[in-house]
Amino acid sequence: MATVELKVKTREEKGKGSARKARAAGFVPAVLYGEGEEPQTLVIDGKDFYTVVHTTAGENVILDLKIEGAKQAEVKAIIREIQFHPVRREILHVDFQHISMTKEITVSVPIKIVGESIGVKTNDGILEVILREVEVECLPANIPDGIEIDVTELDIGHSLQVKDLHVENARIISDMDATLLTIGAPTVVEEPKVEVAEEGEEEKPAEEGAEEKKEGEPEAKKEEKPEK
Amino acid sequence: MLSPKRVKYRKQQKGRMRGAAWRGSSIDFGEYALQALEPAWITSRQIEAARVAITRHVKRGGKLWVRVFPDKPVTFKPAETRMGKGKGNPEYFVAVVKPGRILFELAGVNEAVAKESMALAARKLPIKTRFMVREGVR
Repeated sequence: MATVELKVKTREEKGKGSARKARAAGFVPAVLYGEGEEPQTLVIDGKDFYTVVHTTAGENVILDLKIEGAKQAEVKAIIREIQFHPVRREILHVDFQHISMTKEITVSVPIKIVGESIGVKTNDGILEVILREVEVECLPANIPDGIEIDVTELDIGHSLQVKDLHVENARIISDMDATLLTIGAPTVVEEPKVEVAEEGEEEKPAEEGAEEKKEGEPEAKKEEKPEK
Repeated sequence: MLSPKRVKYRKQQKGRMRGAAWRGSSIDFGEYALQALEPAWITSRQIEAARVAITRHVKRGGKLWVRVFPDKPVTFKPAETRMGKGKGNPEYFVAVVKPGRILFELAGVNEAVAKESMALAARKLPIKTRFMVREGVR
């Protein structure tokens, strides 16, 4: 797992007012917490954090936090949560968890699908991914970047469970019987009705009218349905 | 068309659509999504029209999730009626959509097909929307 250095500052003021001020100044409010220690409020430079998150390892990185204005100036941490604005997609807040390199931690690891299955390639099946991450318990140094799973042998109706995953130096703690992915049968969409009516020109407007009526009917019924 | 099977109260007050949709604003099921950028009442007809546009463009394969449900009844008074005499009759159902809400999700198709089908669906809707791709798919 990649290790990245990140400079942060302590934040004295708490609450949404100070957090908003920090965001307006180009900073991202954050918090650092860990087992048996008081949570510490921080601010990060937005640009610095952006580069950290957009490395090849993504959010699964061990951070070397250099905290300005704190007793313990250097801390190893992982990113626990990143909050985004739903429309602007900018980072609103970050949670860091202080970790010990000798103590096991629980992290979510992404599943990487390798190959194209027979069901999708030859039989037009659909690969349905149900679980995209699994929970893993391991030492911070052994956190895998991703767990690869080969799907080339899978045909329509086949599925893979968590128990089919193999990870080195880590223990999967997600439900072993949970389904990871399935190969579903292809969905066939009915041809539009307009294309079916090709015979007489006079029939077309009649059919269009009939469709409108059909659409109107269920609505009229629905009006009566809702009751106290 | 989508509508509730039964409702506890036939008529609802209008309400307001302030702020952003904090829930239902991330891609949770598929790989591609259509996100609302404006607040609106989306009718069950509009949702159905958009759904049909997507499924017809995708043709074979692909899995679609509709992330909004029209559960709010809208009432109208009959034409040429004097004011008063109570609230009008329920006419149709709408989904209350706030900016940021994911409307549709799609999986099992390539990005070009997904983008085109979402663009077709967006034309059936009364609001500005945005095409989104799940992180790590590209």
